[in-house]
Amino acid sequence: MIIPFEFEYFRPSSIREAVDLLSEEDSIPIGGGTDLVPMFKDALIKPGKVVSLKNIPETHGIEFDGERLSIGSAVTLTEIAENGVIREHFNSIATTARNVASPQIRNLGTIGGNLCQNLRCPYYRLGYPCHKNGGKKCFAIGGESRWHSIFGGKKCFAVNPSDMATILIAHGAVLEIAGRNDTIPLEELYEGPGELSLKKGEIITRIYLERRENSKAIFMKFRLRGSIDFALVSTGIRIDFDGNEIEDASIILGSVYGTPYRAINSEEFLKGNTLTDTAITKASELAVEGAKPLKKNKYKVKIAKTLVKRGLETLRGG
Amino acid sequence: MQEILRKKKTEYRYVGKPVRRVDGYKKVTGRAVYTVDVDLPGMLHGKILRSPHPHAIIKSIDTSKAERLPGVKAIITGKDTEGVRFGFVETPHMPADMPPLAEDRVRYVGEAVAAVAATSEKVAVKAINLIEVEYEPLKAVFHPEEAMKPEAPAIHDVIYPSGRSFWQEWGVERDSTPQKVERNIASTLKLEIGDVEEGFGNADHVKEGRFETNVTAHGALEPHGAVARYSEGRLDVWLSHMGPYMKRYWLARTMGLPESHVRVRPAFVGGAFGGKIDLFDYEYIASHLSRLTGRPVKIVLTRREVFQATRLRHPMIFYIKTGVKKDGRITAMDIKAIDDTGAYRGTGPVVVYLAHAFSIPIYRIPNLRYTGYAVYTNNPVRVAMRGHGAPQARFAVEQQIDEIAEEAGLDPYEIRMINARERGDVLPNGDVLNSCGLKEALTRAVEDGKFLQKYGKHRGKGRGVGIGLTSMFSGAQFYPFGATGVVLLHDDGGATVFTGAIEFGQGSDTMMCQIVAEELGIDMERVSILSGDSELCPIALDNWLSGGTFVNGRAVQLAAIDARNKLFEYAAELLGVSRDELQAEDNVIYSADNPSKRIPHEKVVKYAIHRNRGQQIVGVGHATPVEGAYWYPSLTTGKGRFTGAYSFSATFAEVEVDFETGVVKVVRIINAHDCGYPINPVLVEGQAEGQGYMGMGQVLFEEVIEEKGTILNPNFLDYLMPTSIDVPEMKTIHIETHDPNGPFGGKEVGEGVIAGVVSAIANAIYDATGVRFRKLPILPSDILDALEGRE
Repeated sequence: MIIPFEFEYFRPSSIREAVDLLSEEDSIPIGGGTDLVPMFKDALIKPGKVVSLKNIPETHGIEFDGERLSIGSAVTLTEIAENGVIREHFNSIATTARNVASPQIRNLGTIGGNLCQNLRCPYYRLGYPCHKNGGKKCFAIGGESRWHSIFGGKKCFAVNPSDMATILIAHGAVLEIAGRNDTIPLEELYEGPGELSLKKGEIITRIYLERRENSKAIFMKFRLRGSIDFALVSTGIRIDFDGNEIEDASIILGSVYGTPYRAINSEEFLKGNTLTDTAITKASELAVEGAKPLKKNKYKVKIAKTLVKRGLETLRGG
Repeated sequence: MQEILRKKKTEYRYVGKPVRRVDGYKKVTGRAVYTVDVDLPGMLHGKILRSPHPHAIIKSIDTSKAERLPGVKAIITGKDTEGVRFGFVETPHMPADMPPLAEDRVRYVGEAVAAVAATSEKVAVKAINLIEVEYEPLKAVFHPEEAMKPEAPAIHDVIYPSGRSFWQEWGVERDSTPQKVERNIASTLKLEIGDVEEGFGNADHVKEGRFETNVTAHGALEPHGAVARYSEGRLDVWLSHMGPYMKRYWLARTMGLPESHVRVRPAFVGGAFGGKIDLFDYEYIASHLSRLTGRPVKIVLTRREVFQATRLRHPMIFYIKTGVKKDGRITAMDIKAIDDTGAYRGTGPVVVYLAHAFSIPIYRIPNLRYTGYAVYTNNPVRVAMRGHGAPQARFAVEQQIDEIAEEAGLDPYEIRMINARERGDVLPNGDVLNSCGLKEALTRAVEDGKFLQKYGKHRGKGRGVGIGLTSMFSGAQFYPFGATGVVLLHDDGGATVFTGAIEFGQGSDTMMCQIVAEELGIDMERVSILSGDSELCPIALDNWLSGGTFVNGRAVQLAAIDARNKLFEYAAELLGVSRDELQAEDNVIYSADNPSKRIPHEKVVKYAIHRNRGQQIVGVGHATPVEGAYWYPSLTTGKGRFTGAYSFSATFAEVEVDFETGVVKVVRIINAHDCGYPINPVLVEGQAEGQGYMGMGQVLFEEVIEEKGTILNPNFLDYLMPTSIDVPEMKTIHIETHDPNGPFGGKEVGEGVIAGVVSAIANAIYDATGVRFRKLPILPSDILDALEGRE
């Protein structure tokens, strides 16, 4: 199958060059292309200029100085999954990467691309005249909503599908963005379904996160097909302990809302608590508090609850 | 028949052995040429504009802008065709109903409306986007039970025959009549055996239920495609398909050509599973565009087109009522089947028949009523898919058998053993079970899986076991009603086999070569094969008729025997012995009585050619599915002989269910299968295991999600099929029954097993959850909902 339109392809070797190109109209950045190329083929996006970010030295490499982990945005998911340092100090991140898509896709797909990937909603992907395609309605409402948000939405009820986002936000990851002086928390990248806070010409160059003492983290993913599938629900959980007591907790749910969803009530409840059975049950219930499932996705509420419960149980156990 | 059984089973050299595939090397080295690889000089690329509406009148089509696009060589719409409709089914009372390009109306999303041939695929895509079509949407209907209501929109009104039907072409001089479609019913099958009311009157337990199966997709890795080259009144086509004869027939009819002027060329096929049988719009369109432009035309469908615009598995609804005596004997069964056949007839009337025909060889049911409807809807068109009606019917019947057994206080094994058929049984349609390993298969599967030790032990606690039975045909009386095989002996002692049976991944070529090597007593390496060329090969059953081994293999075996007999005439002369004492092995012909009298094949062949001045030894063999039967059974009464041999299988499945997520994990599948005799055990196991995966997928997550006729998951990322990582432990137990009419006793294996897998998993899920699921697929959400209801 071919890409049915013409575009120019650029492969800049410096950030400046890339920023200049991406500041031009009708341009789009591309990493591994595993999400974008199929969208090109379906002519869902038809950019005039496609700018690869894979040839820029600053977007490569995984570094760890004992305190801070730094991952270039063009690093592939395979590199993350197989990196010795990440496996030793941030194994939950390596596990997450291993659970994304298939080996072939992980070999091409980049972390930056994973964080910025587009919505999977079939109505959007098939070109239905929904909000995201310039139309006036969300077809999931009253239609097939099995994949959609369980925490409501404004106009669009599609979910953010990134697995990596959940675990990285749980780890408190921040982004370095070319052209900005300060890093921003990864969580602030996400503004709504398919909406990022990046401005035209802005590029994510690196992702940073700090190692914490007495901290444990886990990623859980629920999907229909075990081998290759998008999450129906995922969660990234990090708990910082002070002895048995929970000093800080981060519980991020993926694929349940237009952005990665922070289960804030659950986090607040856990702080100062210990991981008793009762606390775990309560925390998992609080994680889905206020859920407003659509007609066909009530099951996701139950599954989200189960994932949080099992995640916490695992963290307590090991 | 001149067959002399010279060897005992233990002496076979190639037959019964896991011989390496003859096409394996080409495939793993990437040298195999598939239709998508065919590239001819001057070739144009075709694209099809398809309907976005499930039901609409075409008010106008404006192609003028597209015509002006540089690189566009031809554009066609429905008015440019010969007006011949085609279809999988065409009987005197059911005319073919599908136009190759929509005439004045579209009936499903994806129906071909216009097509372009251009110098590149890119130009062709641009061109179809420039075609302007004005539609007037009509009311549409998507559920068969809704479609049968009097107030439902009529999808077809009167269907008129397009000239002579294939019944007439093939010798049955019955005029075709127009069909007035009532309540969108494409076909009705009604039959009654015994006295059903009396049967229920005699029953101690009666159970009723409604079951519903899902739409699934074949998921062949190679997308559908065609390359057509029309030149000097003759059409050459390379197709991704399952048998050349259905294709050739309908291409000839729709193009207005004599059949011998259409040549279906051999090409490797990247999977079919029932989904590449009948003629498709793009095959006609490529041919027509080639004739218009005088250049070869290639069309390869996108994956979305494969889903939306080719064919899918029939979803069916069953209302079933079963009665049994206290001792478990079935006294009566009443089945109503409703098939959603989509916007055109597809194989609707056939699947309705087969859901019944694949059931009757399993249990002895003295009183049976079966009523089946194939119903038009504005959904995509349905066709055969592995098992074609059997998985649908078994999902329903095997579950109800378990339900009624439980009520009668019997276990699932017992009730099946009480009712299962045996060798020698004569079916209501007259078919005879000359071989039947059903009870043995059941017993072996049950023992191997420790079914009786496990069944009910963890009821409702997340672990369960289940069993299911199936049967399948081995070829039927559909054109060309049998097969001819030809074996040609070369003067170096080698042989070439010619057969119309195609290799589409199942291993047909390998099996044919094994048979010929065995019968001639020569090395496999000396046997080559030319298969699936409609011009160079003798006719065979298209391989979708499941007669690949039983009929086509038998024809080739008889051809090899014929060649051997001729060879032996000359060998006897050369050796000065009687023909009857000759044997052939290791490329040498020798006397069994005096083994020192021996001569290599090549010397005999050369002698024969020399003596006869160029008359090469050509062995010819012929086989038919059912001796004495001349036509396919009636699709409206079910009467008539169907097949010459049924294969049987029993599946054991074990599952674990996670009550907090609703996830079902299939732990183990055991298929005990009676294919008569496994001519190549590895290929047989491959077939059984492939069906294990496919059946598991159908139960757990394979689902074509249709919404108002549009498929929401038309790609391999969103339509979930199990990958190699997702499959459980799988075991195949060979049950050998040696059918007297099959080659070396062999019969079908390609498509029956899946039905047992589907039903065994469904029964195992009941055992694990204590909840009966009557609708496919059984998703985690369904399990969570049901368990919540139970709490």
